[in-house]
Formats: sequence, structure tokens, C-alpha cells
Amino acid sequence: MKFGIFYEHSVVKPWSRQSELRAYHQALEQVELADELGFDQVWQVEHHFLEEYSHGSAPEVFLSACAARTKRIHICQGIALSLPQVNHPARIAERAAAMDIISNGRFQFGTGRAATWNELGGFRVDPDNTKEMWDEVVRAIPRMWTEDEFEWNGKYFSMPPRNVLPKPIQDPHPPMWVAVSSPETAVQAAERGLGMLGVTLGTPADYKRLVADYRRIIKHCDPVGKFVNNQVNAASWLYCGEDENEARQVGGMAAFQFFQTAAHLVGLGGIYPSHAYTAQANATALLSQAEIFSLREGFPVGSPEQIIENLKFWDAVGVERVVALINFDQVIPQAKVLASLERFAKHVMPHFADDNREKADITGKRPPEAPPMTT
Amino acid sequence: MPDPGQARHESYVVKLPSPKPEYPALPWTCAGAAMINVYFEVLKGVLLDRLPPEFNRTSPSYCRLFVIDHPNSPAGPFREATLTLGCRLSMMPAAFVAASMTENPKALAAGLFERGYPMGLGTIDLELGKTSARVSIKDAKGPLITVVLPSLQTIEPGRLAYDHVDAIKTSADGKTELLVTSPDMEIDQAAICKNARIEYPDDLRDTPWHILRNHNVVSAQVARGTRTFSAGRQLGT
Repeated sequence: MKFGIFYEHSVVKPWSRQSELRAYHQALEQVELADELGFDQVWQVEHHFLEEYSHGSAPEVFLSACAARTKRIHICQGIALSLPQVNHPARIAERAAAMDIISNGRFQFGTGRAATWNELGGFRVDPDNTKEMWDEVVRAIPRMWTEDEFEWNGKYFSMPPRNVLPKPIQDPHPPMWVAVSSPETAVQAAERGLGMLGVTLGTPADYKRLVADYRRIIKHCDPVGKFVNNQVNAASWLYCGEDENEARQVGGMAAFQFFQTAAHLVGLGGIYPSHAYTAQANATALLSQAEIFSLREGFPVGSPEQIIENLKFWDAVGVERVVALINFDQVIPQAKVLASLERFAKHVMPHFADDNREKADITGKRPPEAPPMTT
Repeated sequence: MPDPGQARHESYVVKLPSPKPEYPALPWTCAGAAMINVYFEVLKGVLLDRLPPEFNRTSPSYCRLFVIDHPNSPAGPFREATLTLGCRLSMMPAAFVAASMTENPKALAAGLFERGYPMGLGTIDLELGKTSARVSIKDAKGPLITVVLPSLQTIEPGRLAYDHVDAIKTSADGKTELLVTSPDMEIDQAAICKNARIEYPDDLRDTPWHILRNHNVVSAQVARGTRTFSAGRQLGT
């Protein structure tokens, strides 16, 4: 099993002119260390207008800075908001290819469609259409990367024939992923041959079901890209403490801060009934899942020994990788974050290095030549 | 942590009528009720000015306005219009009553003495058809707000879910009490409107209905079913 880190660039109030500067630059220092220590991937989200929760609206910029400072770690966009009203698909493809070049072929491409009213309402996107929009965009982008003359006449965007440049240096293109927060999206990921970025806040049992369904369905997928990426990443928190108590106090605090900040965002389900967003974010529904707010099985927060034990959960689920938030709202001092990474790399990673499980095959079958897209 | 409210409970004290008017004992089960509900964004400063400190604002700030028509109730037919502030209470979604009115004196009395809202009398004109809806709310000084739902699309009733509503009730001794009323409508039929609009008169007044003005409609729904008009209970009970 491999390990990665991901960034929301959360910034708690009170804010100063230095708050966001500090968050971004401390993150860059963390990524440099993670690269040296052998972490496999670094991801950044794309969120807009989410006060305190995420001030990370320009992942391409941060990830390019990471690429320039590192040698081995994969640079991963998690996600590119794949809605034409927010990001024109050609611009998404262009920036992704540029990051692949800057990183010397270490780029991986995650996609998604947002789940908050802040974002969709802010760009005046109709929530009912986001699933269809995302589907159209993930089909178009691989073709932009691999065709010299790309033309598109879709429902949500159209382009006359153009050569979208630059092209990525990975052949045929970077691995593609999608953010998964519901059983339906896990199925859609599998059907399209996309890697699964598990960002669900559900229970451990939910995760097991999602991964099992995904593994079963992807074997017979019709990939949107030129190859299948059948990797599964689990998302969690990571704090490797000096001992269990220190870890719970420090890492647990960061995890709780996440829930507290996230709770004040306006999710779609709460105020916009839509068939495209099935989770109802009202109080009654949330209270029935109180366990989602607590540190639980599988969270790599604890002493090194405790984390090794906790990570066995993900081993059993069969994910390729655990990708973790290593701070939130900057509540953990930088020195402790860096020490946690070092402690984790020294005492935990070696236990999962010799992995005899069947490796995920991200160079699966290549689809037959796709017919030209017409309206 | 998102900002807590800045309103003092005392700003919601109302003068209770004396002697206490008579009204049928709560709860009232009202069959054949119909609700128009609209969510809309407001500026955070004006919301925080009216939100008690027990609650935190959301991001973005929004209000929920609902109008319920009760053709059948123990107090006779009545309509209720309530403007609530979308917020969080201990991380959970909540809605705090900023203003509320009814046309029925018995419903007003029950509101003042049992649940904290409605808090005043007004006029609520409602047109509710199969394909469109419109509601206009007025007080003694004139028009307040009009909500127009030009086209309705039927959806499954299970898609709609509404949270508890919290309000400040004035006690007989003049003190205040924060009460919660549960989601209290069993929905049999539901529809959404994707092009709802909110209209205000040209002369805006110093009233919550105008101060908490719409800056972006989020969504609008119509629901029909049975509404239970119940007494409030203390938070945590």
C-alpha cells in the first residue's frame, strides 16, 4: 500500500494578510519533505468560495510549484472542476498537459463536479445538469490530449476543429480519476475506467461496499480514456504522534476542526432537492450518521504502532493507497506536521512496502477507435 | 469557525396580549395543508445582526421563507408566513425565525404563547395551481414581499426534507426562551420551481422582510400534505 497527502488549503479565522501566504508556503515545505520521504502522491482540491474550509481554488498553480520543487512524488489534480461554466474543457486539458510537462510526466488527473451551493450557485451552474456535464467533459479531454484536430459538438460545450496544445508527455495521457462520494459515483467511475478518489464521509462499511462494487464493475468497463486506471485511493487524516495521547490530542483536533468547518458549508442536499445529489444534508439525516463525525476504524491518527494497526483496515478493503490530510485550518504547528511525516515514513511505511497483493493495472485494455462525436 | 450570531435575545421580545386570548390546545393537525418554500441568499452582515449567538452563520448566508396554508384547523382556516435565517446549531442545519405573521388571531395567540412564532398579524394572499404559484405578504403598512413560482415540476415527495425551526418566545415575565419546533409536515405531493423570483415594493422599509433581501434565489418548492402546528420545546429536549 502506498501513501499520499492532499491539500484543501484551509485557513481558519481570524484572517490576516499573512494567513493564506503561510498556509500555502508551509504546504510547499511539507510537499518537499514528503517527496524526500517517499510519499507517492500529492493532491490538491479545486474549491471556490469556501471560507475557511478551502482557499485552494487554483490547483494548477500550487501543483506546478510542487513539481518544480520535487523529483519523484506524483503531482495530482484532485480535482479539476469539470463543468464548462467553471472551466472550459480545453483550458482544463491545456493546463493538465502543461503540468505533465513541468513535472516530467508525474501528473495525474482527477475530475469532479462540486457538491456545494457556494460553488455551483456562485458560477450559476444548474445542479441538476452537473452529472451530464462531467460525463461530457471526461469524454472530451482524453481526445483533446491525443488528437491533432479535435472537434466537439456536445450538449454543454462545442468547439470547431482545433489542436489543443500542449500535449502531455505521458503516453497516451496521464491517468484519470474521479472524486467519489456516493455509491452511484463509484459505479460511474468503474463504468468509465477511471480511478476512484474516495472522499466519502460515510462509514467504514460504506467504503467496503463502494470498493467491492467498483472492482466488480471496472472489469467490464468502457473506458473514456485510452486506457483503464483501476486504482482506488482512500482519503483520511494522518497524524503520527509521539504516542497515542499526543496523537489523539493533536491529530484528533485537526480532524474535528475539519468537521466543524465543513458543517457550515451549504451542501446541495440541504437546500436544493436534486436528483443529481442524492444525499440530504438536513439535520435529521446527519444525526442518524453521528459516527461519521468521530475518529474511527482506519484513521491513521495515533502512535506508529497504532497507525500500523489502523491501516490494516485499508489493507483489508484493498485500496492501492491512503491519501491524507496532514493538517486542517492550520491548527497543527508546522514543526509537528513535519515531525509526523518523518515519524510515519520511518516507522510505518516500511510495514507496507513489500506488498504482495495483485497490483492495480493502469495500462489496461485500449478501447477501439472511437467514432467522431456528432450532435 | 464561521461567525456566531450577534443579536441579543431581548431584540425579539414581544408584548404579550393580556388577558391571554383563548385558542384550541396544541398540537393542531391540519389536513390538506399546502406550503410554498423558497431558499435565497442574503448578505452575511444583515443575517448576523439578527441571529442569536447560539447559532453560527453558513457560507454563503441564506434565508428560508415558507408560507403554509391551513384550510382546516381547530382554529379555523389560517395562513402563516415565516422568514427564517439559515444557520448551524452545534454543527447541525437549523433555521431561526427572524419574522413571522399570520392572518388568524387564534393562530397568532398560539404562536406567541406556545412556540415563539408567528409574532404578528398580516395579510397573506396565495394562489396555488397545478402548474404555478404566487404568494404576496403584507403588513399594516403595506406590501412586504411577493414570491412567484411561474412553472412547477412534480417531484417525488421524499426529495423534500426540512429541518427544525428555532424561535425566541417571550415568557409572561418578559424573559426569553429559545424553543425548537420539529419538521412538522407530512408531504404527500411535491413540486419544484427552477425559475422562482422574489419581488419587493419600490419603497423598502426598516423591517426584516426587506433588510434580509434576496441576492440570489437558490430553490423553490411546493408541498402538500398534513401539517402539525405544535408547541415548541426547549433545545436539547
